[in-house]
Amino acid sequence: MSAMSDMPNVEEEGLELAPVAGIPGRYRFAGTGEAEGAAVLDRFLGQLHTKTLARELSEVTLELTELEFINSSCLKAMVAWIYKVDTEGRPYKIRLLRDPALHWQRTSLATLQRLAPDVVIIEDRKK
Amino acid sequence: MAGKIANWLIDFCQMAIEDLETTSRLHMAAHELVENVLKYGSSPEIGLEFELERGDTRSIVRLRTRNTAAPEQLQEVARRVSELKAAADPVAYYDRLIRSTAPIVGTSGLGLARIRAEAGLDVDCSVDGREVSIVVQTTMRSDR
Repeated sequence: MSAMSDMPNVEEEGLELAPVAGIPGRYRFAGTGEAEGAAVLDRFLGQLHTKTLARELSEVTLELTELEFINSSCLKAMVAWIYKVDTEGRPYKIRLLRDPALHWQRTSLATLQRLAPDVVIIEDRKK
Repeated sequence: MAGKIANWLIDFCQMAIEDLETTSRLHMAAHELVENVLKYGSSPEIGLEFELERGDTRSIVRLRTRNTAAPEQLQEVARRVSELKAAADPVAYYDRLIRSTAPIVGTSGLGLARIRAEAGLDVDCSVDGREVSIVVQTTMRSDR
């Protein structure tokens, strides 16, 4: 558990999910998300949502550039979280930092943005 | 498990095709197809094929899975593929599916629609008895 963020560092089922030290509301996702990882991601995003509301943050940033791939089960976990934020008053924005060289990030993150264009912001990784 | 099998399959594909964009699209499809086979297959015997049909200017690349499944699963996959093929705009269909399933907890049911909309591959299926075969394919410029 990180004292700075009160969120766990998770390494399970091929996924690494962790708060970025010293930057409230910023998280780093890495690895590969398969079917077994969906529950892990779902649980982490649920905690992230609760903490973000408690801290009244206006934005959450996910660093996804080291997330090699996620399958549709993990994508569904992202969809459920974004849908919740979008339909429950849009209390905060979600900024997704992507690596445009990864085909799945170009297509899947665009899909998430179409789901909630007023909530999801996509930003290419700074070189 | 699904990722290891999909990666192995894509490593094999890369020996035959050099188009990185096509390989990335096949990678996504392989992940989703293998995941479905592992999730819904009712016996340990499965088929996983990669096929490259070379033409003078265009080639067809194809992935095919075969597995047996419970009758209700066979019906469900046939229904989903039929809907997908009938959709005039695969991306709009995918977006509607995502929105309609977003509040539902559990199985995503997005895999085949993702292959069609995000990977841009044609999706088809056939059912023979207890066995279902899913085929996804695309064309690419021939490297000759």
